[in-house]
Amino acid sequence: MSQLLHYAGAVEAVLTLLAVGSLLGVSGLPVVLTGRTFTSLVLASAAGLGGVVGHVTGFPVWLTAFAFALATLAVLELLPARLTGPDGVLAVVYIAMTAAATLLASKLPGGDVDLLGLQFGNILALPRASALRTAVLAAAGLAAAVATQRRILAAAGDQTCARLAGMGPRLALAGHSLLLAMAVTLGLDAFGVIPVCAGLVVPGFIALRLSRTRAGWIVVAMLIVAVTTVVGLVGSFALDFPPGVFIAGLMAAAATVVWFMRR
Amino acid sequence: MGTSELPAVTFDRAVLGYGRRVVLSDVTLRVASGDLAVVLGPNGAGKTTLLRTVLGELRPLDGRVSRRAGLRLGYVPQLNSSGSWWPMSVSEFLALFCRRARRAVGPALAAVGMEALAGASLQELSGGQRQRVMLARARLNGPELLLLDEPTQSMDPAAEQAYLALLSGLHRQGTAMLIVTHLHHVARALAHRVLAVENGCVRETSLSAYAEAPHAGVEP
Repeated sequence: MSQLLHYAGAVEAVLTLLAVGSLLGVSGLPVVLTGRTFTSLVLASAAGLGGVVGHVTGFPVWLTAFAFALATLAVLELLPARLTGPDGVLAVVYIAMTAAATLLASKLPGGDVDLLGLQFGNILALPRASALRTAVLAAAGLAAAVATQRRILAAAGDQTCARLAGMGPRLALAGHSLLLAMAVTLGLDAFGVIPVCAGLVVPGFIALRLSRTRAGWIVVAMLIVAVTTVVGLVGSFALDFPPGVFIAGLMAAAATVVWFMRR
Repeated sequence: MGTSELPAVTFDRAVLGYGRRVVLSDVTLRVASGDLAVVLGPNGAGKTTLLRTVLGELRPLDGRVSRRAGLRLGYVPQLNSSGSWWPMSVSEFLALFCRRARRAVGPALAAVGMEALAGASLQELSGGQRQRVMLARARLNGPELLLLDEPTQSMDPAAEQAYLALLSGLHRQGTAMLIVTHLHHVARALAHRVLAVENGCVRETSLSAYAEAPHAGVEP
């Protein structure tokens, strides 16, 4: 631990992972609640493909990643449920996007895209200023996700009843899409594609099994993120593993334990 | 004429459907304050289309459908279309749909006899209890007209009887209701008015006249 703290940018890295992880976990709760966990895979792969397209075209990577994530969410929302409902369809989209990103990146001259970094993240390689900016944006997104969560859950649960209660469900769902796209885009820098999927799904998966209240879900999700992030970062530094994927592995282990406890 | 004396909902020669597909035509009817109308008809006849038009989710393809200005609606969807049952307590679930949750949730649960289960998880409830929770949710914002879509579907006879008695009690307290069902005995237990939906039309009828005619797909 002390060795890690002497590493330049370690404090910023911890703050960034905590903020981004919490944003992923809290904004992913409605996704898990409504049983659309495969959506998180598609979303993360879309942002990953967008990132590679940014490298290829020279546009800012965050912009293309955000645009791809948001466009994918919009398409998923607009398509009839009978088309997006089957997990198989989403799986095919995920595979296609991941394959396209990998093929595109492999053809770039001089290895411009760090494929391993894109998939699994490398927070300690992120410049300190970038890490801090990501942390601040994620903290703002987290505040918005917590503040709007009641409306988002009501809209996700029953749009008609939310509308009759004057809660503007379409606006709430559009806001949630923006938050998800933001979370995934920030998560790409901090965690990488695979850990972003874990961050969107696992904290919610665990929280829903350990609490019956909305506030409880938020607290548990953020605690899971905090514990797995700190332990994961220290462990990955000590064992020389990519931190993002190590954290994702810890999240999966925690989810397995909770699943056995609360089947 | 006072506001409450105006019809809550008026259909004037309305044609209802989806896109170019007409489901119901020439619908003319009024739902007044304090009404309890049962919309009776076989599956697929267009009952839910009528309900969705009242809810404002569908616009009439022709004619006119109007709701009294400021009319507060409550909606109880079919049990199997209410989304998945979340691992959330009953009171937390209701609080999602109400701005003044602390004041409103307790009385809403008490009115449907569910106050003892406020802390229970939605997933632990029976079908009848879940439908009571949906009724409590529909009443949270003080609706003047309650719309219920097949409210007793998949209930056992005892739960159904208790639920129908609950609806009768709420109606006696002044809440207007429009109830969609394909079950004749539900209409018999509740109906002050029967609206028969058949062959693309809606007509006002009496329960006895409806009972004497043959109806495909309607349970006696």
